[in-house]
Amino acid sequence: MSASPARSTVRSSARTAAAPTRDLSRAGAARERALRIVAPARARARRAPFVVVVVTMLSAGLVGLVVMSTALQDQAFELARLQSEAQSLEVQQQQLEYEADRLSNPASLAAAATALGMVPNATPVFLKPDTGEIIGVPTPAGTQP
Amino acid sequence: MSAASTRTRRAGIVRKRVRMSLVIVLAVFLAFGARLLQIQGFDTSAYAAMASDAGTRSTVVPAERGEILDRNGVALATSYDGITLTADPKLTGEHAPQIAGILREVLGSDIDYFDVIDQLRKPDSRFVYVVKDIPAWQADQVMDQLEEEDLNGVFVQHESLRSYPNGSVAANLIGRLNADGDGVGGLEQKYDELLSGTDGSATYSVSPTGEKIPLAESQVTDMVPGSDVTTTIDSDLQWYADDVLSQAVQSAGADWGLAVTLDVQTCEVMQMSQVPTFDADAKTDLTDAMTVSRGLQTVYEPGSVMKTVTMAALADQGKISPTTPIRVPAEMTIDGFTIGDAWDHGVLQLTAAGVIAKSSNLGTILAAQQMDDETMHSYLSKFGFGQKTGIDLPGESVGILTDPAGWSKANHATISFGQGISVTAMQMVRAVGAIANGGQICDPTVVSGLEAPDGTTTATAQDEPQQIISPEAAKSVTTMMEAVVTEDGSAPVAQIPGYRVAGKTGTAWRVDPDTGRYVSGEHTVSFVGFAPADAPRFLTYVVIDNPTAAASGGGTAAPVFRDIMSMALQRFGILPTGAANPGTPQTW
Repeated sequence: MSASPARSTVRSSARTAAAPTRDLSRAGAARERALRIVAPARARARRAPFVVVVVTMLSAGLVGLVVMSTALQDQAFELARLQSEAQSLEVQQQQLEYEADRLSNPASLAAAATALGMVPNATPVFLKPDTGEIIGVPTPAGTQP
Repeated sequence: MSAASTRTRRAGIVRKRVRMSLVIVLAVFLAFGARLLQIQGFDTSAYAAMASDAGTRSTVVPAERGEILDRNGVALATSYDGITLTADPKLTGEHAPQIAGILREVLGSDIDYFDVIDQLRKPDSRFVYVVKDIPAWQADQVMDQLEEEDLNGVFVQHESLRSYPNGSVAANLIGRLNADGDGVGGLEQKYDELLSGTDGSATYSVSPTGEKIPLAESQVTDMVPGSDVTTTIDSDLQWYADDVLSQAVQSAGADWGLAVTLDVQTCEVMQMSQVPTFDADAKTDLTDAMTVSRGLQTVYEPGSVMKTVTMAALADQGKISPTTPIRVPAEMTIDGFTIGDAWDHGVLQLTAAGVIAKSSNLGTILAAQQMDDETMHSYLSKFGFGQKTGIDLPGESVGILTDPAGWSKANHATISFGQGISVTAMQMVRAVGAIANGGQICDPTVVSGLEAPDGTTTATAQDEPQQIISPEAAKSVTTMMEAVVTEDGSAPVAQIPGYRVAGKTGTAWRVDPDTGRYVSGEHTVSFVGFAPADAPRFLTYVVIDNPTAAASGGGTAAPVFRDIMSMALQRFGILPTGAANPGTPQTW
C-alpha cells in the first residue's frame, strides 16, 4: 500500500522529464530540483592508511598471541616445576618426621639415656609449689637397689 | 567404412570405461557416505566418548588416613607417601643389572639383586612389580639415579603407607592394615571408616603425547582426609609396661602375658600390654597367636582374683566385713570332690581379711555359702561377667558364666574362688575397678576423642557409671585387699613405698583349650591391684599364662604390677600420702 504512491510519483516525474507539460504540480517541481547532476565521486580513495592499520592490527594480534602463548607455556612449566618442588619438599618433610618419630620413641630415648649413663629413679621426690613442701627423701638414683 | 566402425567401437569402449569409472567412483563415495553415516549417525556417542577419553586423563587422589595418637598427642600410627616401583621388561631387560644395582644401593639388603634382575628381564611381559611399598624419598633417590644414567622403563605408582613409629608398642590395641589398606584388629579396624576418609579424583585434558594442557578444562574432586583418633593410652607408660612384662614373661618361661592399667576415676585405659606381640611397622610376627588381643579375646579361668568379687557381693549384703571370723578346715569334700588350699594347714582361724590375704579357697567357699546360686550369679552379672565390657575395640569375647539353674554345690564353691568361670582380662579389670571406684562400675574406654580434618573435635560418649555395690562394701573389700600386700599376705612384693596398695593374687588351674580339662601342673598366674588404696586412682592387672611350675601370682605377677603402678603414680604426679597399711588382723 505504501509503495504504490511512490511508484506513481516516480513515473509521473519521468514523464515530466521526458515531455514537460504545462500543468506541473508542486510535487513535480520539487522532484525536478532534487535530480540535479552532481560531481562524480573520486574514483580512487587513498588505500595506504587503511592497509597500514589492518597490517598493524594483524601484526599486533599475532605478536600478542605469540607472547601470550609463550607466557602461558612458561607459566605451565613454572607451575610444574614448583609443584614438583613442593612435592619433593613434602616428601623430605615426611622423611624427617619419620626419622624424628623413631628417634623420639620411648625405646630409642631409653637406649640413648642408658648410653649416656643415666639410670631410672625409682624413688622420686615430690615438691608442692604452693607450700614449698618436699614429699619423700631425696636419694641419688644410682644408689637405689 | 572400417575406419568408421573402428571409431565407433573405440567410442563404445571409452563410454564403457567412463561408465565403469563412474560406478567405481560412486561405489567409493557410497562407502565413504555409509561410514560417515555410521560415525555421525549411529555410533556418535561411542566415538565421542573415545575422543574424550583420548584427550582426558583421570587419577585417583588417595585420602590421607587419620593418625592414631596417644593421650599426649604422640603419634602411635601415622601415614606417609609410599611408592611401588613397576617396570616394562621390554625396556629394562637390556640394562637389568645396572638398574638392580641402583635399587640395591639405595634400598639396601631388603632387595634381592637376582630376583630383581629376573623381574626386569621377564620374557613376554610389559608390566612387572619391582619393589612394593617403599617410602617416597627412597623412590625419589632411585628415580633420580636412573634418570642420571639414562635408564628407562621403571615407573612409579603412588600410594599411602602406614607407619607405627613405636614398633610393637601397643600393637594389639592399635591394630594394623592389611594389603588392601583396610584396618585389621584394634583401633585401625574399629575406627576404619573414620580414619580412612574419602578418596578424591582429578580429571584433566591432555595432549596426544600425554602433556597436561594448561588452562584446559579440568575437574578436581578434593579428597577428604580421615579423622584423627586420640586414645587414652600413655605411650611412655605403655612402653615401660611392655618392657617390664616382656622380661617377666621371658624369665618365667610363660606362653604369654598381659598387663592393663585403668584410671578408675575416668575408666580410661592407660596402657594395655601383651607379650608376645607383633610389629605392625616392620610387618613381622603377623600370626594369629601374636595378633589376637589377649585382653579382650582370650578367655581363661581367673582363679583367686575372683575372691574379691565374691567378698564384694557378701559385703554388699552385709554378710561379711574384714574382721569377720571364719574357721577354715584343712580340706572340704563337696559333691564328692575334695577341695583344699594351695598350702597344707590344719584348722585355721582366719578373718575375712586373712582369707583374702592368704588366698584361702576354703575360707572363701565357707563365706560364699551364705548366698544362694541365684544371688551369686546376679552379683557376677552385675560385675559384668558373661557380658561385653563395652570397650571401643573389636572382637571382644563375653567369657563363660553358666546359668545358675545348672550349678552343683561344687560349681558354687569353685566359682567363688574363680574356677569354673571364664573371663577376659578386661572384664576382670572392669569388675575390680568397680571395687576401687566406690562400687561404681563403668565401661572402659581407649578413645577419648576424634578430630575431624577441619579441626573440630568430638569427645567420645561414655555411659554413666552404675552403682552396683554400696561404697561401704567397696571400702570393706579394699581393706581386705590391703592385707594381701602386708608381710603376712601373699604378695608383700607389691608394696610401693609411700602409698597404700590394695591387691589380690591369682594362681588358677589352667584349662587345655583343646580338651576343656585342667592340665596338671599348668597355671595362669595373676595379680590385680590398685593404688592409692585410700583414694584409688589407678588399677593394674597382670596375667601370665603357663609359666614354669615355680611361678605364682605373688612371686611372678606382683612385681610386674609394682613396677607398672609405681611408674603410673610417678608419671601422673599422684602424691604419696605416707599413710600406713591399716594392718587388719588376719587371724582371731
